[in-house]
Amino acid sequence: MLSILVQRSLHAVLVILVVSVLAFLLTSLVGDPVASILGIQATPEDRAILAERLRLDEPWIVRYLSFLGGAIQGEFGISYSAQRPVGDLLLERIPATMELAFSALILSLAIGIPLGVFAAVYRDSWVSSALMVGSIVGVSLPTFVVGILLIFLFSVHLGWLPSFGRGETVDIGWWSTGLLTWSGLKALIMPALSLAISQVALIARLVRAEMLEVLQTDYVRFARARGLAPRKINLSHALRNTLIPIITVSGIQLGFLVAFAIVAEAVFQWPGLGLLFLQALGNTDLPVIAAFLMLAAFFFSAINIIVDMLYAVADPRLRVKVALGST
Amino acid sequence: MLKHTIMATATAVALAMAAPASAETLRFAGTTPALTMDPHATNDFVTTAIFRQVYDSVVGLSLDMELVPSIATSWEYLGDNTWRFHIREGVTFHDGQPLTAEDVAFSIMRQKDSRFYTSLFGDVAEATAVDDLTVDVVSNNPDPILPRKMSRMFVMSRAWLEANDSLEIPDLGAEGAEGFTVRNANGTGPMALTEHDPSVRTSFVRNEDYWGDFPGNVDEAVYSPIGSGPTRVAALLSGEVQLIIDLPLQDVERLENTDGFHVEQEPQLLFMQLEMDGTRDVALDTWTNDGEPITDNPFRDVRVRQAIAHAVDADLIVDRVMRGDARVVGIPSVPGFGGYQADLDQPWGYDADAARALLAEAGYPDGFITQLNCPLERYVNTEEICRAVAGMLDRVGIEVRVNGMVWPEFARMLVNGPTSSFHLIGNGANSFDSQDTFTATMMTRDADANEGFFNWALYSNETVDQVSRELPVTFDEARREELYRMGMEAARDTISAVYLHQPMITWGMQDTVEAPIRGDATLTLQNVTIGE
Amino acid sequence: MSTVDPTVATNPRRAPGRWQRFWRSRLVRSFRRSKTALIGAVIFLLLTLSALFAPLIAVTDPYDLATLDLFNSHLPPIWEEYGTAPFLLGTDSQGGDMLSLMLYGMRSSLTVAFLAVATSSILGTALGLIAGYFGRRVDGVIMRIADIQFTFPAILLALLIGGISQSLLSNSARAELAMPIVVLALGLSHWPHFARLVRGAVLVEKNKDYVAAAKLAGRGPWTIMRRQLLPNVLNPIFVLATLDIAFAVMGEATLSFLGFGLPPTEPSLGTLIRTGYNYLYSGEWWLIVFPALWLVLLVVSINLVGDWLRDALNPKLHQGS
Repeated sequence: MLSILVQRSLHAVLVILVVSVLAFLLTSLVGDPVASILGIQATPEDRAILAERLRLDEPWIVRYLSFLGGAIQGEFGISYSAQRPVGDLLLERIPATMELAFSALILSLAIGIPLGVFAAVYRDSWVSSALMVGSIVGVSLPTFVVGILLIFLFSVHLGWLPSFGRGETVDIGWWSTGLLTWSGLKALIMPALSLAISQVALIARLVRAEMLEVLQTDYVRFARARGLAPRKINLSHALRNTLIPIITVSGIQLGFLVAFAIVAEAVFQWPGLGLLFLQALGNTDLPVIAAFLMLAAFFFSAINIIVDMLYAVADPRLRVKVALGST
Repeated sequence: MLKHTIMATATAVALAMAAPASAETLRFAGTTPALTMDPHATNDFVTTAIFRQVYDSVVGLSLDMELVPSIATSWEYLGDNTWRFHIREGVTFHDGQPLTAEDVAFSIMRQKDSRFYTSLFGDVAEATAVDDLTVDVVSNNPDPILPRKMSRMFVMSRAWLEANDSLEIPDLGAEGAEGFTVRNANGTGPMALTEHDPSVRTSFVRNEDYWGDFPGNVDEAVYSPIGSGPTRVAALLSGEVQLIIDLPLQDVERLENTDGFHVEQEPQLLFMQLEMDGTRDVALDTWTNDGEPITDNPFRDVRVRQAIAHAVDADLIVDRVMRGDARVVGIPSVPGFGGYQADLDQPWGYDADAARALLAEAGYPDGFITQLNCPLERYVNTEEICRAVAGMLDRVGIEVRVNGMVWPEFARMLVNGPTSSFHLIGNGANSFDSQDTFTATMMTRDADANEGFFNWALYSNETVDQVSRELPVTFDEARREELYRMGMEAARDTISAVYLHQPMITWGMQDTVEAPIRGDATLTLQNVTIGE
Repeated sequence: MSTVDPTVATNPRRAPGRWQRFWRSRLVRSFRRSKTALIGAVIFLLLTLSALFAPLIAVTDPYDLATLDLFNSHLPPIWEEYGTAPFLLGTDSQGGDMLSLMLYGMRSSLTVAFLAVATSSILGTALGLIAGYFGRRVDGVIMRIADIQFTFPAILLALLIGGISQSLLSNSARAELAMPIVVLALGLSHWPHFARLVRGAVLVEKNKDYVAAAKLAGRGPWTIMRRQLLPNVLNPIFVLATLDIAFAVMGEATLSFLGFGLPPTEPSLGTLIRTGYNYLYSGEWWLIVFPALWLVLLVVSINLVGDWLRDALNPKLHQGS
């Protein structure tokens, strides 16, 4: 267990180093930071002054080390477009993305598990096969298409839910949450749902497959033979045994949700990291892009360590299944 | 007469008392965020429109874009390159401190050094407070339109800046803490800033001690930037905001037909044009019909320029791409600019046959291939304009590849080069006087001398240059008029650029909201009324 | 495919013709039994054919601006008021026929998807074969790179590669390189899936007798990989590739929707949805509804086939159900 942890942590360090080199190359060797910062009306003198301030004339290894040093302390310089420290920008946006991704995860579990259990228990009924076909359609619905349809239905036609933003937020320390206000919760529903839909389908399929497997084990057969009520077998025996893989897979799902959050944030103008990143790409705001890369490397390495630890206690075969099942 | 006045006053008081006790809040949205609240740190027009609520300019602008007294109640030219501005008495900043001539002089000196205002105020040498209510501004050269430029000069409090360590304009790209003035403001305007979170919201509260008129009833206002057009419209339709600036043109009809909403439009003080390389020996990104790199510059030939002007059907673009929400333009000026000449404003007219003939005459009977650089945002429907233009030129034999670029990239291409032989761009005038159009966008480009700095396609014409040199030092109105006409005719005849159209500023709002549009696309919150 | 499916080969009966043998194979029989797979395959085939023959069917050609007439812009579908032939599903803001745009759009989408899957499967298979066969340090290096990549979800990688290179490229380069970039972004983001799969299969296969026999016969490692190992790992590759096409179509659409895919001058389904999105509230619903439905239909049809294929070729699930 410990050796896995050590090995995975070394792996994470490697990932972060590789990404940091890429991020550094991005900010300093490509693009034209001076023109990016100063914009259209700058004079040549302005440009020279700024180039000096950005230390563009020092050897690259020195600049890389200072970049890495800054990154470790959360300093990525000043955003070209927002004119604010990039670290602050990211920090502000983290709560929005995390709340969105976790809500979507909970939503997809809350819908996906019952559906999967149902499909496994009534495996031969038409409802079950309809659910399976439905899950294929679910997996095939691009996040942005779902988002657009939801806005069309619930914001424009019915006027029930807000179509953009996070609503009102409450600050708890540096964490601004939308979960404590009514308008914040309403604003969360559609983005979370559009993210969750494809994951619902995946969870449902996974739960069904696991349940089917467990239902055929001797353990369940024995329970059946003992004359336990089917409902009790299904829920307490079979489902409980599928929970560990589900929890493990949730870690991976969370990663996917954070990645797809970029899309949902674009559709719903959700002020999270993804939207910030897309705007940065549009403006070629290199410090923000670089910082986003570093943050992503860190976040996903962390997720991976956790997931791998969970696998170590659960079932290593799962990973292949998820890789095959997720598109 | 006296009785009438008393009656009127009594009615006004009654109305005031009948007004709803609850605070009226205007929630409005636009495309881009207000970048900073420091009025001297940017010239971005969206940001300017926002901080104008908080900071007054030295000279004001009426809703018709006429110069009106503001912080300065009157101004006169003293000779010797010196303008005198008389400062309003009894104006206080939002923090309660009184405004002095010293604050005005200091603000002028602070803003003139801003890199964003060198083209407007680079020539100002000195601003001094003569006494408590008088400021003299001395330029290096005579400047007949300085008062007009002063409508872009914003007054800050020296004491407040000093107390917050912000006498210098917060430096862009600098390491360390951000400037205090980026998120905080203390002006004399109709609204005071309560919160500025650039990418999320900017909030205002009414300045109860405002020195000027406040005909509207807005007590609080919140601006949110919503980049995506459809999301912005959705926000309006669902009632999350009551007003959006930049209503996408395709949604105008729908909104007008939706109960409870209406659309306001006003011509924008800007016109779109296609700029063509006027100087280079070899045009960039241009090929012969066989796809070989071209060895000359077709755009330098006035017949090719005329051919393009005739091949592009500006009326059809206005009708279809702009959905009628624009006006075809025939000279490099629009109504509302100083120096606009209505009788000269005659479009070239669409004539594909003439275009083909002109091309043949110029030695390009089979046309050529070129690239149209196209900014993807900032102006309305640019991408579609570019593609329509490409289709139209295709019909007379000029194959056009549309090269769409996001605004920062487009701007970089121009600033660092310029390296474009053919592009679409909006042309305006910083000071709303055509003089600016001449000196900044049409004069032969010499970036070091700050001449024709925005003349990105390197157009060059002797008459226009002469006009550009003479206008800034000419005070005589008749002579100025003559110069404007001379310059505009020359520009028009030599096709300084293919002028397309003047777009409309288009806002959508709830029927309960009355908000007049000013030509500089500013929502003047003091003039907004929210009804039941 | 030139190689014979092993499941087919191990089905000895009377010696029927190759086609007959294929038709009667377990794979095909299960396909014929699966209604959903059949429907999916038919839809996918129809869509692909229509995309292939787009130039013959289309009324306007988005690549030939001369076929567009601004006068025909903003027309609704033919069954609505003001709808006009030949514009069955209406026109866009430039006077382009919607149906033609979608056909050409699907052409771009499918081209990108096939090229992307080709990139990822060839790269992944090659690296997987090498890693599995040579083992040791080669294996270590290749799989470590795969692991690093696995740290990130594929869609994020595609977005990073596509977005950053588009954002850095300037001017004319972007329009020309847009398609290769999207192909590479999607292809490079998915190769580890193939590599892992193939490596795993090779590790099993390489200890079998026939490989040892080939070694004894003096065949070089490259020949063994190509002639012995590759045919035996084709099955899972084929399943993954099919599923991957769905990923690539959706990935392309997502990239294009976010503005980092194909440019509007080279319409794909994603670009069309991006453009149509601007008309969500304007009443010109045909600009968004048709491309969105078309995209979903395409992805669903691929996934229906892929889903069946996954079940049919996965022996473990076979025993299970």
